[in-house]
Amino acid sequence: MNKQAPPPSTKEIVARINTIIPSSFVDGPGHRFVVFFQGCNLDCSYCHNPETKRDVPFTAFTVDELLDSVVMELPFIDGVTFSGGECTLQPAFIEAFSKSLAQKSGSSGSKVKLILDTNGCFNQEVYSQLKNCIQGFILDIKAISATVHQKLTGVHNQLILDNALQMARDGLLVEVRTVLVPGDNDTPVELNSLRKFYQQLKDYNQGNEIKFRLIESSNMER
Amino acid sequence: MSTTHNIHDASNSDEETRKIIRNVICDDKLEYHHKRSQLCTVAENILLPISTNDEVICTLFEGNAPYRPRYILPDYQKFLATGSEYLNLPPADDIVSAINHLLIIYKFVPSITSHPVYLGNVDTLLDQYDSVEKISELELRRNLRWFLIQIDRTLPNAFVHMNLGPLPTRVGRVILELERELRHAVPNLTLKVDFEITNEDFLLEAIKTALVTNKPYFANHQMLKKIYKSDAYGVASCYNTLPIGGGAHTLVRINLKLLAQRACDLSDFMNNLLPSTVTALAEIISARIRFLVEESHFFQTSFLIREKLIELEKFTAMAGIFGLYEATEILSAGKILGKDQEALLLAEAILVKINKLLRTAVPLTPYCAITDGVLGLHAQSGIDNDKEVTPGVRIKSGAELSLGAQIRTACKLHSHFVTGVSDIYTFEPTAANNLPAMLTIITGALRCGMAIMSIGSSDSPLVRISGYLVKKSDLEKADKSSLREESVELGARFIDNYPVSKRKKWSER
Repeated sequence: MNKQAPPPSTKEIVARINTIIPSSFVDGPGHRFVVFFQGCNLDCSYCHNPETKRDVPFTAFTVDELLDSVVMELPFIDGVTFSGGECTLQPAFIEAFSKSLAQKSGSSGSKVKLILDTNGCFNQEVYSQLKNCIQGFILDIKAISATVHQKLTGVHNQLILDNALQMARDGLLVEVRTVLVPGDNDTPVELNSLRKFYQQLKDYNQGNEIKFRLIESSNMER
Repeated sequence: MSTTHNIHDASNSDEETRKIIRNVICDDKLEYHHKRSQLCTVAENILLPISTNDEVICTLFEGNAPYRPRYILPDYQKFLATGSEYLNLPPADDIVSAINHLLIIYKFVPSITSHPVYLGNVDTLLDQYDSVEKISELELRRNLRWFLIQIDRTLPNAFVHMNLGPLPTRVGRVILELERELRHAVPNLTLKVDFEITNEDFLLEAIKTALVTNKPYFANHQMLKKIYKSDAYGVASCYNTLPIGGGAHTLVRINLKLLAQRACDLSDFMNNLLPSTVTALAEIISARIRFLVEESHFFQTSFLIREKLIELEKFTAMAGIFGLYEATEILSAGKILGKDQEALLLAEAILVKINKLLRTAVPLTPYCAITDGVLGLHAQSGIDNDKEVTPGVRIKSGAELSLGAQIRTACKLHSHFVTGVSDIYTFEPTAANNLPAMLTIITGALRCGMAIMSIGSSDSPLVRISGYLVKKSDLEKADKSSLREESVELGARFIDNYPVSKRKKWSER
């Protein structure tokens, strides 16, 4: 008889983390504990956290270790935001952490929510894995035109736009933001496309009101 | 900064005393009221001190011969309801008369600073008229605006302290709005918060104000009202929690850092030094109270007593401590409060021991009936000449850890205090764009057991010194000229000795 290996425990699942900020007012609704994951699958020319793009260096955190840090802050935060880099590159960790967080925050009486700050560049399998274990997405839309997107990030954007619409349909889109890069995605044509896409997201939205933000690349909050 | 004369030394010869008096009178920077105040102190300090030579115990320059209680919290509700024979005032019958009654009596309420340190639970006091009269919002704003301007101009001292809440009222909301506009350092402000009574809108209004002006304090009403088994308490001066209709005769404090430095080891500290020092503290406090009550006859001569706006039975006295952070570090061979569990356990053990000594080892203090003769433990938040010692039971500026760790540590320590303890949190300006975040932090902290919490923004025009506020622009002027608010000079000297600017700015990246 074949024996299946037991799933890894929360002491074994490890994330590659660049930085932890236990107190943030700018990474989602309310007061948030923010974890910046290491590694990214886009290569944005204007990236504000370039130190997180590479795969190294990083600090390895198990689910339990990260949870211990969060638990200290639990009564004083509204939620946890996973950012990066690109946090969705480590979906197994997110899933395990989310379950542990729900148990901990449930037993402490608080309702702490996990939100992913993502570039939206992940496949359907990852989306299915994540959508049931988090409370929402903050999505960076870099550009609507595939050409502009390719230029800014080195990657095609069809998957990202499809995911954005799916997130809206699932009521999981908390915030959508676009960093305006002069001469690239702030042209009248691109801005018009962006406006139309934002409207489409609103029309599709099955959740709370989505917050839309256009940010000057010279004026980012972090 | 204006000249500091040596006005606190009773050992001066007659010739020296004459010289000091002449120097004060002829000072070319002090204004008239500063000179008058210093001359009073010189006169008082010609008498032999009721004090000690041990520098571990500090009487906070209260003066050698107390002739008025340090903090007085008159029963303003009674005053408004009955009027005053002494002040020739009938009962207040509308909001304008109530405001003017208060402004009149404030000038007659003594304290250690000569200005009233408690202005009353003003929104509740005025709401009883506002809720009946229903004057227009515009008229209410105009009256309250001038009320606040009068307080700032005629009581120019940042220890003057107004209370609001916990009930949300229109008067309370308008005062919070006006505070944001006026941006005065005076009055200091506390909002009593009770999650059963204080609604979210009122709290958010207060948070919005605090992120502009660094006030109000957020006081844990459920926790504090248990101390005196009554809602009738107030937060006076910096953050002294005392009964309304009474107050505190005196405050004397122990420098725990200095005491720890003298100890051979932890056992010597806990079993020898602490008992002898607390006993000495209690003896000084008792002697000072006895002089105040039995010899200065304050409680026979004051109209506040005659008209029962205060009662001797509602007074206590305050046993202060400071430097717990350093004491813990010294006694635990380097363990850090806020970081190491051993340090927190030791800090709590020290507080438990002091409270036990106050309850059982020293004679009950006369004239402290409201606390059953026991001195009320107080976390003293520092004075201008403290050097390299952390106020009260706070974490050292610049040594703070995560927000959660700091709040949890403060909450553990706050539960041991009777007559006041607080903690200060300065946030990055981004907090002002995210009021719900601040609501979560304050709600969490108060539910966790924080007694009194100060929040503010690093870009506020006001800076919280120890417990009081000073305008940053005034600090720059303090070097050059004598200012209306005496507390500015204290603040400037405090900052010279203690790195307020090193306080962590939460959420800073």
